[in-house]
Amino acid sequence: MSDQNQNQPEIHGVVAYYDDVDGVMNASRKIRDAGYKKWDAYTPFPVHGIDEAMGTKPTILPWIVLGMGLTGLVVGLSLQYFTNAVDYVFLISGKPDWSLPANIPVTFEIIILFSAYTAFFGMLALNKFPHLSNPLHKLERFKRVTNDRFAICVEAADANFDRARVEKLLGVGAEHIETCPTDTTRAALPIWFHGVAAILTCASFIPLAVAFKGRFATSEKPRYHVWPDMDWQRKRKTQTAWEGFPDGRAMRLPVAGTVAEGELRDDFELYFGVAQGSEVPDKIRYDVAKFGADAGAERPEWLAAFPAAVNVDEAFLERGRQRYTIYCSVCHGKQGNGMGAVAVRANALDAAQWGWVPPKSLLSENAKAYSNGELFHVASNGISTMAGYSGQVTAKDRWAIVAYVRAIQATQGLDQTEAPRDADYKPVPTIESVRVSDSSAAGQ
Amino acid sequence: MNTSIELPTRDQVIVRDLSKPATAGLVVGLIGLLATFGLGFTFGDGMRHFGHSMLVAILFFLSISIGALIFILLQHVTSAGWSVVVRRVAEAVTGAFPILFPLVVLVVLVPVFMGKSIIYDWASHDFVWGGGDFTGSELIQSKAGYFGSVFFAARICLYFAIWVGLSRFFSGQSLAQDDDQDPNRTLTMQRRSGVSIILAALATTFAAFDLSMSLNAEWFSTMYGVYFFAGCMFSFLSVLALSTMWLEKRGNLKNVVSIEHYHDIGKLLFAFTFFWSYVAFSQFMLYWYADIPEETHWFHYRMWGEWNGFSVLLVAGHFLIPMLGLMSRHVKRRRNVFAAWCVYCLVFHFVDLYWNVMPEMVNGVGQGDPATTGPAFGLIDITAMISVGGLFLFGFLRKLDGKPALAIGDPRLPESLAFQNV
Amino acid sequence: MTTTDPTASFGGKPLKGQDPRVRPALVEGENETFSTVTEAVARVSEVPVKETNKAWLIGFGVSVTLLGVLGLMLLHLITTGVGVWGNNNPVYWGWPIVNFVFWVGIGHAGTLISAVLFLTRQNWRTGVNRAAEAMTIFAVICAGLFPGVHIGRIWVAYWLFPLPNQMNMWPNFRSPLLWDVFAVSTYASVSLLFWYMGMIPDLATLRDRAINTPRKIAYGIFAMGWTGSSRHWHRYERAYLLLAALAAPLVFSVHSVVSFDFAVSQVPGWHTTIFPPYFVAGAIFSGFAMVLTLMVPARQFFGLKHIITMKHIDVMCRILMATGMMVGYAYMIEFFMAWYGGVQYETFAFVNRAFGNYWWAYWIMVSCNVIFPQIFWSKKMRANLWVVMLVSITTNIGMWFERFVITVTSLSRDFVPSSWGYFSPTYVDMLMFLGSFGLFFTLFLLFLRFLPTVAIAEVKTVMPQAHAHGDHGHGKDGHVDADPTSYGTAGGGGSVAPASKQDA
Repeated sequence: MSDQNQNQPEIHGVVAYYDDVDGVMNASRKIRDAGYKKWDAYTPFPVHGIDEAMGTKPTILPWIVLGMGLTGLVVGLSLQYFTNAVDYVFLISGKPDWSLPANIPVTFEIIILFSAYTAFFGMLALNKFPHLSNPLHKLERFKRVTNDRFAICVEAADANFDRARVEKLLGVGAEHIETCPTDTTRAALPIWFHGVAAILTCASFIPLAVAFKGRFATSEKPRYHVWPDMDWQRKRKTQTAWEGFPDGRAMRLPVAGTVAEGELRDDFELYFGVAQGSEVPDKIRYDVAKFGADAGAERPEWLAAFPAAVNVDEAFLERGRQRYTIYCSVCHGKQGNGMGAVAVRANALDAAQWGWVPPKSLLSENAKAYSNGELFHVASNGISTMAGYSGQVTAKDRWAIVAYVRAIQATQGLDQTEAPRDADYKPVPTIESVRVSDSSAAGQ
Repeated sequence: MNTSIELPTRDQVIVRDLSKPATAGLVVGLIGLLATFGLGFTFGDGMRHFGHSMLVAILFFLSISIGALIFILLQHVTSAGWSVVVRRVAEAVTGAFPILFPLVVLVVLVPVFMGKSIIYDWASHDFVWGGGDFTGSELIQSKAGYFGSVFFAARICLYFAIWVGLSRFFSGQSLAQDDDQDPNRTLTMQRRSGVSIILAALATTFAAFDLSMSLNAEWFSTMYGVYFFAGCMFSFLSVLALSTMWLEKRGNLKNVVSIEHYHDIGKLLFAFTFFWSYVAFSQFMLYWYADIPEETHWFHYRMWGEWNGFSVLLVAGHFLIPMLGLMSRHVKRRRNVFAAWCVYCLVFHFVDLYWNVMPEMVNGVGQGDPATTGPAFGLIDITAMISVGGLFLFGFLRKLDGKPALAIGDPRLPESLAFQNV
Repeated sequence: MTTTDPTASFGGKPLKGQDPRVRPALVEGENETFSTVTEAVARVSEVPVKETNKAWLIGFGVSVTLLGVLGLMLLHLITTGVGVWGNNNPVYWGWPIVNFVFWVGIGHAGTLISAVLFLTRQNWRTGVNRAAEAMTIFAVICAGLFPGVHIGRIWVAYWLFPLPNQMNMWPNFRSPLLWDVFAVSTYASVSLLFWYMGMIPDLATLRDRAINTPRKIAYGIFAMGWTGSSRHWHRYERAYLLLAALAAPLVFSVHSVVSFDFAVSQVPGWHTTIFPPYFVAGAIFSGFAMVLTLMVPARQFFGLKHIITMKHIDVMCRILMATGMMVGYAYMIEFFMAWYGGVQYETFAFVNRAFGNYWWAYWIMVSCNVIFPQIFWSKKMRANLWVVMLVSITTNIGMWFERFVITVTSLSRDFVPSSWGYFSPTYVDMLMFLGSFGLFFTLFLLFLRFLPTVAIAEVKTVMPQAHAHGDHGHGKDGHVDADPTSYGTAGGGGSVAPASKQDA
């Protein structure tokens, strides 16, 4: 094949083959010293020292990789800063939005990712890969270069190319010398290839365009359900009807007589403010008409003192003050005079015209006449337009409020018309005052 | 076996005239010790500053020696060839173990037996069980047996027995091989190095727990032994490069050690910079993330108090700067530049140990809160370093004196001499 | 091995072992040339389909069957939900996570052999690195499968990545599970690049030997037109060194991040600082065990005994033992610190591990990982291939149990006794794990059959003929480890620095 081509003027270069490393190294030095530029040595494996023998300059690849590594550092940190500390801030496991220690691992991985990809693709780019068409591949002998032969090719394109001289230089120790013809068989890509490539390129933008549209458009339709059983599960939702049960409800009622844990209310004094064993007053709104001052015998047996389950001491009273201030004072006022912030505001707006019922003063004689149990009942279940607080305040805390109300009734309550004092006002009832009011209530 | 490489003769490489510098080291060390002791009195803090400064200095030089021992064992266990020319230097560094032992007895064990919390709070009965100003510590009570003074002293002695024993065996074999060139010695060392590494690793781990981690006996970290080991290698490799350069300059290793060997030491130093950072970061991050009070307190007063700046210094100086600085091959292949970096690394190894030890000086003894009491670096820290350094030098030079500066009988010496990076 | 140097003696007496004065040749055999190496490796992939090795066909058949089982189980899982697994309160992380850590651990040996051993100039790696890298990639694929399907709705798996989406949400970068996504995907893709890049010259060899056009086109495309140009080799080697230097810390980071999944939590038995290096050591341990498990039969069946020699097996056994002891060290330190720390939960967790409900798993783990490998202290045992196979397989088993012990014992006994439970796997758990072996072996057997199993070009560099004579003054004595071969480059750090002029 090479003999046929020798007479053709169009040659790619002269190729010499060597059996061993020494041969290719020596020839390389000669070609290097002869000042050729466009030539290369081809070896089955990287030969140590051949870079020096060929005069190859160190590649700039490491610098590119270093640059991309630093880029990875910046990208990694700013990605995490932007996403977690700026654009989508949320608190998780008590960590600051911008938690550097927690961001190190991902930053590190991104640095490695960027650098490694750069090392690989940088190598490909610098070597101009992929480069599938090469005249050297046409030479049958050249195929052994990837096995056990070493070759040098001096290209005809070199300014100093002189075939005879090159052959002489390469000849020493060479196993074989031949010329490599330029690749005349190199065919253009078929026409259809361009068409298909263009269509595929355009088609590749479709998913991107769909995603882009989805990002900004709104849709009336429900999203596509890949596995419907996760969206429409075989279950009934709460508070819905279902014919599967005789009563037509999807939810089941507790079995009669069951008590949820912690809900056993067998201490009537504590939970209902009445004597143990007596009738438990209805939970519904306290009926003034029924249980008014004149109701007499129909009144439940309200507890006059405090239940045995609570221990009325300073701490209890302080607890009551806190609960009262949180839950009651907005309407009833810190002093209990019914002039809380809500009431003051409502008065200022003349809210009575819309049916506003002002909160009662707890310091009134009427309120003082309530027994402890009755006060507790009101705090629990409400009265008139007042709502019950049993959902928000535990039973013991409601008793603490009762104790505190007793205390302010005993110590304040002098002037019902008194305007609210400054916000920091804090009545300082003592434990004795509770006992006094307690005994007075009991005495009634 | 290789005709083109000339093996150095014994006369060329033998190290002479080191007895004077060695003695100077001993004298400086002893005077320094007295000076540090005297300075320690002036603080009037029950010798606490003295104890801690001395502990930093002892740990500094002990870690270098441990690094040398583990380096030797690693070379044997991997049948390494490149390092033969510098192995003798490492063997000489391990000569400091017998000198460091009496120092540890004096500074560490004596106060423990006296029951004084000069260094270790757990040594004080009151601190552990309550009494005086102290309320006691249940956590330490639960392991009071481990901190019994006899058991503690026995452990310290065991560690030193292992270190001294191993270093004597390996340097002894190596020296004997200088004379008889018997390749069987290499095989023996290789065979024994496996078990030796296990012993050395365990001794080093528990020494790190006992000597350094137990300064705050309520704190614990499984990683601490690895962390200390990373520091050992980091500091030793710097010392190895510096001493090799010194011997080369002196003529003992001339035309023996080439820039290729420094390049390799440099690469290892770089690797251990990274390894130290990896270990230190993991230890910190895991505690920071889980945020359990019994674990975070140790970091808390180091990183959110007066020591904060010092911690930042450590992160920058022990990780960022050397990582960038040692990355380039140009740095590792220029003796002067590399020497400067080695000195730098040693400084930051000191900073690392200082950061580990010194915040505990005021912790838990009613003297103050480490969060509000910052670093108090002073003359006493310098004299402590000079004193232990002098004694270390004495051990090192005495071991080197009158012997070849490289293992001339090692069968792999030609390989090491011909060694080249690319 | 003694075969390389039977007459070594000193002072008239024979030496007690391998002569340290001479490095044994890495490629064994009297008349090995570059060509015979090419032939030995390439012919494996060039066997006509009809003449395929029977053992290969049987193995492939079994693997594909298991792969089918995996496919069915995945279908069942995805259409039904993760409830088909045994994961339930309190053991929410059951077998899927155990399998994930198991496979990703195995996937560490390949890149370790390629990168770390490359940087430390362990030239023996050239015999096994290709297969180990392939193993890495296939193991990481198996690993990625489990957390991938564990998320339940796999069609929204892209939520794991920071992609802009219509919900304006971003992933939580403070979560170690997200670190895992980044670590494992970085590791998988970088390992793939590393593997493929190493294969380019060998694919060119196969291309140039191709006897028919389909082979020529297939190998030709992936060889990218490689000619063996020295200018290309120069950049290629530099890139390879850079990839090695980047992959080395990557290997460490990946299993460290996997360990963070556990260790950043407060669960007793998980939250301990030694986890990162301990997991890395365990990963290398299991990876080398798997390399041995695969390579011992492979070298037998494919006639590669002179390239993957007994010396390779010996070295890998020693690494196995060393990493096994590092793992044992971690077990010991954890136990010590559980007592020393004085935290009652930790203490309980560790006592419970060894003597609680899962005591059997714990002791399987300790026996397989710490006790059995001790047999490799004996050189005879390292040379006995049956023992090597047995121990490498028990190591794989032990390392699976290690992950099981960590995951399940800690979760089944957490802080609140009322939530304690006992984990039992379902048949789906078991078949999926079995099926993952099908996936792994299908891919690996295809690799063995069609791709260059050994790095042909790299093996040639460690042959004595690969060096110019009189250059740098080393002889023809098979003294190769000390040779400054271009592949013997070390350079953790020099890596990202520019290459200086060679000072040859």
